[in-house]
Amino acid sequence: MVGYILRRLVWIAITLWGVSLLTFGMLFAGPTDAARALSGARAQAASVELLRQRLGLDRPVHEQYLTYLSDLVRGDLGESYYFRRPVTDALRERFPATAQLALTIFVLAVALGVPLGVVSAVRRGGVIDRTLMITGLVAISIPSFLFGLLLLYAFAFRLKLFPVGGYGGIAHLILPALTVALPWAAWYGIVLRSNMLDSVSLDFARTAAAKGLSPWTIAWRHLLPNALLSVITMLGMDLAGLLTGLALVEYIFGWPGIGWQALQAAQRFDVPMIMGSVLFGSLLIGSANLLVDLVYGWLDPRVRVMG
Amino acid sequence: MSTAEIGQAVQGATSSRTVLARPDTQPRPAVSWWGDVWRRFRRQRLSLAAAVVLIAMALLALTAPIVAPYDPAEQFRRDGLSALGEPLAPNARFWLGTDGLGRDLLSRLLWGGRISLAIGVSATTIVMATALLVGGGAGFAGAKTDFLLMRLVDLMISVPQFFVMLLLVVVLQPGAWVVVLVVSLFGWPYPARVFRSQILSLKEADFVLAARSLGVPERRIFLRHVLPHLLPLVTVYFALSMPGVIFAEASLSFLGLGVPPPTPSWGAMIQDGLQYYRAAPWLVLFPGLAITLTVVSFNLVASGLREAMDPAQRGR
Repeated sequence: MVGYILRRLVWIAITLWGVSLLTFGMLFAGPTDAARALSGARAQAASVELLRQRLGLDRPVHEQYLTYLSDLVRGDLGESYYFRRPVTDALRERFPATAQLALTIFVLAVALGVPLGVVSAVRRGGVIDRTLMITGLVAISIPSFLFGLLLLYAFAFRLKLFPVGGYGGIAHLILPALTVALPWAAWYGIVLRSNMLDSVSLDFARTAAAKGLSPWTIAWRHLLPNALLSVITMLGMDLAGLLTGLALVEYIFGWPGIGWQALQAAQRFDVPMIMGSVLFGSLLIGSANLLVDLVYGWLDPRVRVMG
Repeated sequence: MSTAEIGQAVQGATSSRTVLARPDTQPRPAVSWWGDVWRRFRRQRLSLAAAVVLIAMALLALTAPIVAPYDPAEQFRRDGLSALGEPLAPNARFWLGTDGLGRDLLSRLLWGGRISLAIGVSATTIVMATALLVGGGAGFAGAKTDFLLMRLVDLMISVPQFFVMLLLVVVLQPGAWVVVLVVSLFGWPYPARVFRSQILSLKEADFVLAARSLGVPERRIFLRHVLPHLLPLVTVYFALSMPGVIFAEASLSFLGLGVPPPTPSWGAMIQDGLQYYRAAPWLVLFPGLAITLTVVSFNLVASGLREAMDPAQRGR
């Protein structure tokens, strides 16, 4: 077990190294001159040159990369061009807000999605089932930023039930969390439903029915645990997409997390900040994936890893 | 493809025999594989409707210069804005109203569809080509190539994709082709995985063994015997990959990092409309509906195609 976790941690480290290599390579392959872009169109050649030296952009590429890498190993992601402060500090400061939002989304999505999936599997073809199928289709077809804007318009501007945006108590949290959680719940509810229906005709389900269990008990006790496994697998593959949705929702609602920060950094040409966000995001996805796999092994004794 | 053909060949052979025995039986008319797919696709009315919607959208996008009532960049400063200088609501002259600069929203929507759909189709083509190349390479080449390519796939799905896209767009500077390349960057890993596993099982098929024992070269086996079997999957995944690409383009444009103005795209129109959101929500709603309708249609067509092309996969 410890060996397995260690191997996975090594893989995360390799991923991070690969990502740093890729992003750094892209930076130098691109036609953009960072020093010029930062000093503005009207800056004089001398001041551009000065900035270039101050940022260390005049040194050879491999030297710059090695410096970056050795800083990275020590947990230093460089200094933001825009804020003139360490990227690591900015990320550390913004991360709690993102974690809070992500956790709320996860809890909401599970609390809504699992019952929805079970009900529509048992009452197949019923009102809830058909509504779920249609909602699920729309849910995966609507861009998260648009859904967020619609919720914002209806519940904040019109009905004035929630604040328009910003950070604060539960009232601020509800709309952004629902923006991601609702589509997610509908989509995973559908997956859960179809997985449960797939195993209805299997022996264990037939036995359960033969000994007289009610459909609800069969669904809840026998079909759901099995169906959850494949949902967990899907979750691992969807993590990157979920982070995208999270970032856009933070941006719309002015939720001060790492996603909003990364999008703003892109609009401000703050390259160290974006690179830091990419690396930090990779670390988050890698750790979440490891967690997903560990939970999977814990739930399913058949895949429990050795050593 | 060939299962249907074999089925027909067998059926044809037996029916000619039965014709001799019972002259009154009607043999099934010869149907091509595509004919068969169409017959099964047609039965799913929702997917059929979605296909009609997509064709209509494609036609509108192609004919935008003719059907659009106004020039999408023309600013009607006098009669396109209200007395307070705010955008007009939908009316008889401007069917969908005007935007903050007094430009006709309908014309912009039509021209925006041109850009959004063109980027969607070209990026998805790149996605499919890459997925085939990687999936085919991994499935058909040796174990070492397979291992390396699959680790690349693992890497691609474990990075924060949208942040990388942002970095690329910022570094390469926005432009239509940059956007196409950037949004096609992360679409291929999942289809590549699916193609690879399909190829791995096809490799063990009897007809491949037969071809190999007849001395057919590996390249020809891949191109003539394995690739045609991937066609249904490729078609389905083409439709399935469009939504992701359209979302990525819309999100980049929404942040002002897509195709630069004055070229309208649906995502950029949403961004434009945002500052009048409270007073004129339709500026956001109409392009948003256009994106959603397109993506819903692609998802429906994909599920219809899956049912029509691979009845064994039904309900998945």
